[in-house]
Amino acid sequence: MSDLETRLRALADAASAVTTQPTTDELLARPRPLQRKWLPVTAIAAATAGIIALVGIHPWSASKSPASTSSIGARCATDPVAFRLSGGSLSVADLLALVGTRLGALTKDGCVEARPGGAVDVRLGATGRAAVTLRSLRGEFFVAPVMGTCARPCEPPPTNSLFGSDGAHYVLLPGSDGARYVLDVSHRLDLSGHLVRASAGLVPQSPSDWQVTLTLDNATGALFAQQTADAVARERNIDHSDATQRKDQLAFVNDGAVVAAPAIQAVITDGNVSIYGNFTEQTAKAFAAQVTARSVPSDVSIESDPLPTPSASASLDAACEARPMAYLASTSGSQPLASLASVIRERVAALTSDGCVETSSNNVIIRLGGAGTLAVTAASLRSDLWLAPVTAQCDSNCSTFGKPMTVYSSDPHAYPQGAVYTVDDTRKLVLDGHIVSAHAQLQTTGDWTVALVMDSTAAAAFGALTTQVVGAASPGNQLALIDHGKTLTAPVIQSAITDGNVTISGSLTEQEANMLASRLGAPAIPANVQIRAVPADAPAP
Amino acid sequence: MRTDETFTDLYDGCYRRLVGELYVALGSLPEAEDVVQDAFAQAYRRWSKIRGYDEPAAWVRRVALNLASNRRRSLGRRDHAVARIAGGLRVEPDLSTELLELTEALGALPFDQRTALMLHHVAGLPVAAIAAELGVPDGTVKARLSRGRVALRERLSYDVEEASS
Repeated sequence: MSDLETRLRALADAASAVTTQPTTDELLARPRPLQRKWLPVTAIAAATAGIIALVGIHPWSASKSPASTSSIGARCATDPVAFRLSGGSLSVADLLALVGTRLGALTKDGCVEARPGGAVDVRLGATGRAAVTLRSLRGEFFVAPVMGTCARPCEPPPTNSLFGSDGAHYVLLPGSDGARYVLDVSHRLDLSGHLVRASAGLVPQSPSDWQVTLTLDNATGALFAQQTADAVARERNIDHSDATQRKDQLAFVNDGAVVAAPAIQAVITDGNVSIYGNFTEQTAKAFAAQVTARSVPSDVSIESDPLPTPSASASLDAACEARPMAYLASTSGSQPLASLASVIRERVAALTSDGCVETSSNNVIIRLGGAGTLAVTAASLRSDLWLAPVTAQCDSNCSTFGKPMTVYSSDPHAYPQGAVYTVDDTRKLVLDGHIVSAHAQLQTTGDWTVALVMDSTAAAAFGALTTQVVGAASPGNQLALIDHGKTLTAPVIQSAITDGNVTISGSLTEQEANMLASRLGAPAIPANVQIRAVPADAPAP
Repeated sequence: MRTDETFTDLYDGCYRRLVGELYVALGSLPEAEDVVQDAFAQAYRRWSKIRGYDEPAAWVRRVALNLASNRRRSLGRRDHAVARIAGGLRVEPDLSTELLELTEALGALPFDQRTALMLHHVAGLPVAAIAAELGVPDGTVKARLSRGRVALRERLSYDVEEASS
């Protein structure tokens, strides 16, 4: 036997050893080859769309490493300060080097410098400002399950962002071509800081195309294996005759943009991931450089643009103007803009801390940072809160996405199995505008609860509803509280509640209770107010 | 009369070996798994006929190779992109340096030559059997084998000559 023969057989054996044999049932559940659809066309466009956003990123060469100097680039001193980083356990020199490397992966039009007192300033020119966001400067890179996609024009689905950026929720991420992904970011896995290596190279099977290969550290590799296993299981569990969307896609999200959303066809256990897509040599290398550059540790605080805000604008924080405009709200009613702005401000604050509200002559302007765009949509700005009797409950294997009358739980803490409820929405009680107050309370038992007070109209209807369901057979004795199409909670009603004073309890953490309270308590935006999304490249009004 | 259990016997007995063989011909484990699974699914649906064959495993391998070949030929530019996105994340065998070197060398070969090398050296088929399986003349198989070996010899340091005819 020749060496070649021995080695060819060893190669076949190596593949035989790692392949996973599906069960006969799984084998027969495979779509027939002729009918096979890998991905809907919209998803393909979207999968390659994120890449386009990376064009124009030019990594700094290594020789420009800023470690040895406190200021890079002759033009630096003349550009305005865009970000200021402070705190954390890194020395100033280390922080300077780290931020310099990150910035270098993002833009050429900027520089870093150390300030007296240990802070590090990032100065950016106009090009740099367009390329660097708070999110990309920190180095956020994560992977999350794709729940669905939609193409432009895309009404945000009811399953949109629920809580603020810290909560468990689904979000809609826009792609640069208008296609968007609905991602389950409560199951996101952060990859920044967990990459051993990221390299750009040619695709072995298709040498004219580029790929980026990531090597995850061991702990994250194990978590990623679990995530791919979950993805494969989701795809197996759906009814293929009914499915228009693969359920095993994972989206790689860098700086708020979906870089690629490959379908996971096998569990990836070794932490080695290749991302294919529409990479060119330049974009592949730039992407690899950007994700390899160390992320800024979470104990370092980043302040954006300490420019003074105009007194006319009533912003949530001092950095309002640094954020791009995301939505404009205007009213055809008689409500003064200032009072509308205060209502919207309260809702934005309930959704995210990365946004602010100001008024122009005839609009209320909502500005959002990167985290804010994840949490706030035109739909989530409006209140959509109602109660209805539960008719059934099933586990996470129900395929309900996009179907009416069925709602996902969005709270993995309350429903670790991802319980899905169906409700009788002919008997729904709309709560929008009928909540007098909602606040978190710490009970003497140590449990966090939310105390909810309804106005007299809602209290009467709630009294009638609770009277009807109390004592019914489970789950008919539960009332589901639905916010934007998701079950917040579905408590069992133990007695009729006629005075409109309700306490929601059950395994809430302090953070969850506070978020729930602020979400419920924020005033509703009147129906005659129009909310329009502002395209990313729109000029100032 | 055979029953479903013999399909299971075939499936359990040959699945891993066939994936290994197709991997040598295709260079991608997900692709190999994909075609082998589709081929077994076809075998199941036509089991009443295929169970009578002398070598059902050879039938499955031939179908898998045809599927692979058809897909490579028919995929247009866009479909190709779809396939790459769909297969964007892969699990691949953990290979030693010399086997990595071999996969890279094989990757430079046309599909036909890799298939011939696989059928001859891994599946252990004589030239005549390969010719019958692929539906080409003996001489074509010999040419593919010899060109494949020459191409590999240029890239690899060790003996790629056939020890026995």
